[in-house]
Parts: sequence; C-alpha cells; structure tokens
Amino acid sequence: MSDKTDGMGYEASTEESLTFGDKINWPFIIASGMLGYLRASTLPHEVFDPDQVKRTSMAVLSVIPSSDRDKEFNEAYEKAKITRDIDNRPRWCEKPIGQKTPENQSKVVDYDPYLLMTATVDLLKRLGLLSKIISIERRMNRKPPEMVKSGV
Amino acid sequence: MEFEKQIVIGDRWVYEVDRNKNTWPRFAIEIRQRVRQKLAVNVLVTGEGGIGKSMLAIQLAQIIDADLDPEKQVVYTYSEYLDALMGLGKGKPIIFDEPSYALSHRSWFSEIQQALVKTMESQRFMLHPLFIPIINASLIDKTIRNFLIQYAVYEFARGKAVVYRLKPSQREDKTYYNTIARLDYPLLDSESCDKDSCLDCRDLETCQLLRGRYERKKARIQHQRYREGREEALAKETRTMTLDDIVAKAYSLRDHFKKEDGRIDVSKLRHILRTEAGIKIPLNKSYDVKTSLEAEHPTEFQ
Repeated sequence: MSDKTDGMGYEASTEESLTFGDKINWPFIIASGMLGYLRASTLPHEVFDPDQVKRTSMAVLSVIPSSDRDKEFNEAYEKAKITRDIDNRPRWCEKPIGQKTPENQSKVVDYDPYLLMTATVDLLKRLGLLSKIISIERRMNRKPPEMVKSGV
Repeated sequence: MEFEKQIVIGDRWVYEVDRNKNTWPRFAIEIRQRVRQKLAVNVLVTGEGGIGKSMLAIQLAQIIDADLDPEKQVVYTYSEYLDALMGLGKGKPIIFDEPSYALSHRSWFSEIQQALVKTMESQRFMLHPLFIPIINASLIDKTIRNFLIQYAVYEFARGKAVVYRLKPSQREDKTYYNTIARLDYPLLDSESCDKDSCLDCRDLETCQLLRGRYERKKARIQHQRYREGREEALAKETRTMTLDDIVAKAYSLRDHFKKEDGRIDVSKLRHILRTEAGIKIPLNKSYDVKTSLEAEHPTEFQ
C-alpha cells in the first residue's frame, strides 16, 4: 500500500478534509445574487419582468442559512407577505355567479420583493456582514475624582 | 459631558463610552489584557515628523503603566534599551524613541531591530511592552516589521490615529492589517497645562509634568548628538587642513602653550589645539608646527 492511499485503499486527498465553506465562495454567491436582483429591478419598461425581481429576491434569501435568521427578520418577512383572496366562481359578464363557498374560494400568499430584499439586507447588517464597525477610543485625559477600580 | 458613561482604565485614564457615537476603548483594553496574558505587545507608531508620535506612544504606554518615568522608560539607543530591559520591573513598557537624527544614522534602525528581537527573546521572563515611534514603518526590516510587531498605529493628525492589528499569514508571505480602532487622544498632560507645546515654554527647565520631563531628556540627547556631530565635523575639517592653516590657528593661541622662557611646549600645543580649536594632530605633526612657528616668528619663540 503506497503512502498516498488511506486505510481503505482509496487515494488520500487533502480535498476530503475541506468543508463547503472552503470550496464555495459564499460572499461571492450572495453578492452575485444581489447584483442579479439589482439588474432585474432596474431593467427598462419594455423588458421589465416583476416576476424576475421576485424570483431573484427569493433566491438571495434562500442562500442565507435559516439558523442565521432572527426574530426581527421573521417579523419583517411577515410584513413582506401579501395575501390575496381568489374567487374561483364562474363569471358571467365579469361578475361571479353563485354563492361564495369555501370550495370556490382560495388564498394565494405572495411576497413584496422589495420589502423582502430590505429585510434580507437588514439581516445581513445585523450579522455584521455589510459594514465593519470600528470603535473610537476617546480619552478624556483626566483623573477621576475618586480613584474607582474599573476592573478592566 | 455629553456621553452616556465613562470607563476608567488602569485606575487613571477616563474613556468615553457611548453606543451612539460608537466610542469604546477597545485598543486600551486589548493591550492590557495581552500584558496580563503575558503576550507580546510591540507597537509601531508612525506618522509625519513633528505630529506627536512620541507623545502618543507615551500615552499608549501609560495605559499599561500610569506612572511612566521618561528618564528610565524612554530610550534612544540600544545600550539604554538593554539597561531599561534589565532595570525595570516586569510589565513596565519601554519607548524606543526615534531621535531626530535617526534618518542620518542608519545604525539606529538596526538597533531597533536588535531591540525587537531581544524583546521577543525575553518576553516570557521580562515582559516589557515596546512602543516604537518611527517616521515610516518601511525603515524597519520587513521580516521583523511583519512578524514581531503586533499593532501598527498610524497618526494622521495630532492625537488622532488608526490602529491596525497585524496578522501574518501562516502560509504566504503576506501580512494582513485589520483596522481595530480609531484613537482620539488629547495632548499629554493637557489637564494640568494648557500650552500646546513645550518648546517655547519658560518653565521647561523646572517643569515636573511628564511632557516637560520628556522634552528635557530629548533636548539633552539632542544636544549630546550635536556635540558629537560637531566633533566629527571638526575632525573631518582637520584632515583637510594644510600645515599653514594649523600654524596660523596655533599662533592665535600662542599664549596658552608658550613657556616662560619663550620656548614652545609641544605637548601643551597639541592639547590646546585639541581642546580650544578642535584640531587633532599627531605628535610628529606637532613638531612640524613648532618648527614652522619658530621659523616664522623667530623673535617671539626663542
């Protein structure tokens, strides 16, 4: 057995020890998704497709692990939700015919892509992924009247 | 005060803490913790000449040692540094200050490098945080700069600076500079003295504030260097002087080396030329000078 094989006789490779995090450039994936969303939402009127905007915003959200989503995000996510009532009754001259029954009524849940994207961006900010916070160290340069032990 | 609260570091220094203004003494806390954990704290303070690098370095060192003594803890040479290393108690910071003549004395930079290596060697036993105010980090050897320095402080205006944490890559020849804090420090001792500079202060000779003591030491070192520089310059000039120039100079000082009977005392002539005119001549040349003097002024020297 050569040195290059493991105990099972398979060729050993350093790649095996790598995680997805090492192989996949996650920041690039999120950034490219965001750029796709911006491109879709700024298309000219002739080619603008609201569905494309919705799909790209959902795609960006889908690559953020659910464990990273916090309570504030869930609240914003609920606000982005749009619920529409659909009347499935047959129509005559644009008017529905017959009584409303649960069978001929349905609900469709949709999302406002812009609110959804704002919620995603807010979440990324809270996770500290958008901007680095650099604290300012401001010394007042005076002795305190009582020399209190700060414990720091 | 218009901030939420304050924090006292090292029982002496008050820092502003305000969530809205994003003020928090991160660097001060970090270096104190590193000293407690017996980890190296080597800080490079860079900035243009006269901006106050040394003052800022002193203020940063005060975070670790509030009773910093500039006479012992601010050093200018490697020998002084070694004295401080052995003489100071554990955990006392040392400031290896850059004298103004450093750029013309390249040996100073090699002394700094020796000091850094020595600090690392003795870190476990001596534990002396080292602060190095220097005009440009590139003047220090790259390997030492990248691997023995933990923090780089770039002072861009008086008391205002950016702190970087240096993290060398373990695989490549790269060092990452992560910004960790921005400093906003008042002038040293500004609570006790409202003058913005010691240079034109009449009380400098007697001032007991840290700033005054530091400036006095720096001036003393500077004068010593000027004296050494003058002697070097004179020695260079002497080498290019002709015998006639030396004879003319000796003649102007004749009263100091002429014996009572009018003859010339050669050893005294050499001594006077060295002490009064800064001219060093070998013994055989002094006899040449004597002969020339006697020949040119036969009536004066018997």
